[in-house]
Amino acid sequence: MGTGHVHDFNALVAPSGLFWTKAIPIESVSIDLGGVRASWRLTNFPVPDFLPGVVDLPATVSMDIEWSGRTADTKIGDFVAGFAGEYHECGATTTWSAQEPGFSFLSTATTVRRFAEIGRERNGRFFQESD
Amino acid sequence: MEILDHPSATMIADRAWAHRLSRRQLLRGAVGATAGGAVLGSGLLAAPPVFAHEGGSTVEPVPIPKGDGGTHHFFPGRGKEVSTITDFNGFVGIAQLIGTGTAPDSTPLNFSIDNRFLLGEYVGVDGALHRGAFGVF
Repeated sequence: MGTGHVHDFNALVAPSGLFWTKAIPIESVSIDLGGVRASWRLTNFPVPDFLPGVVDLPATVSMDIEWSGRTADTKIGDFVAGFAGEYHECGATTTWSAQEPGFSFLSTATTVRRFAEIGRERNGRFFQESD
Repeated sequence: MEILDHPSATMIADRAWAHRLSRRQLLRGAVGATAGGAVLGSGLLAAPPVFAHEGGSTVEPVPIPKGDGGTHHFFPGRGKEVSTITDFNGFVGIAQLIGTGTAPDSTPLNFSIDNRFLLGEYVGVDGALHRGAFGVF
């Protein structure tokens, strides 16, 4: 790899426009909104590596994202985008790894939070019905 | 999740470039799918349908109608919609993080993630109500 070479693990864009979104096991998520804690853990979950200039490569990722430590509370009602929600901005950390033929990656425990939150959100017809 | 090799003082600039690059490529692919149908060299044609999972619905959700940069998703930030699927009611979490890691040969690498979970009820492409969980990678 040369400097700046990128591995980009993402769930691609479906023909419908569904963006980077893929079904996950419900049991992989745990959330305690009142306690402002959540976790999301996946092991060897298939997410392709979209390398620049290369067709996406089959790959798997493992991740453990932990949210905790409330920093702010927000309540949003956006009639332009059409959604509403109540959120707790908070800290988050992750351990993240990826594997594919010829390459693997393992994160260290050190991460820097740029933005993180957990909350409840509703949109579409759920927004129209309640807001 | 993106990985960039060689942590350095230029990491932030490089990271910004990497972020734009990957999204631009995806956008280019999406436009191709809409306008040309078959003009796709990227992985877009290989984009998998949404799969069934234990305890979750098998039915594909509908993308949100709006988004940043012509996509059907919003960048992370206060006041931004987390969900990428519409007709959704449930719990969400988003983590936009950066950090470091290594390859098997101990090469130092930087990484950046914008990962999200969506857990709750949604109306699928079949018009029916479902319960499920989705990850945004």
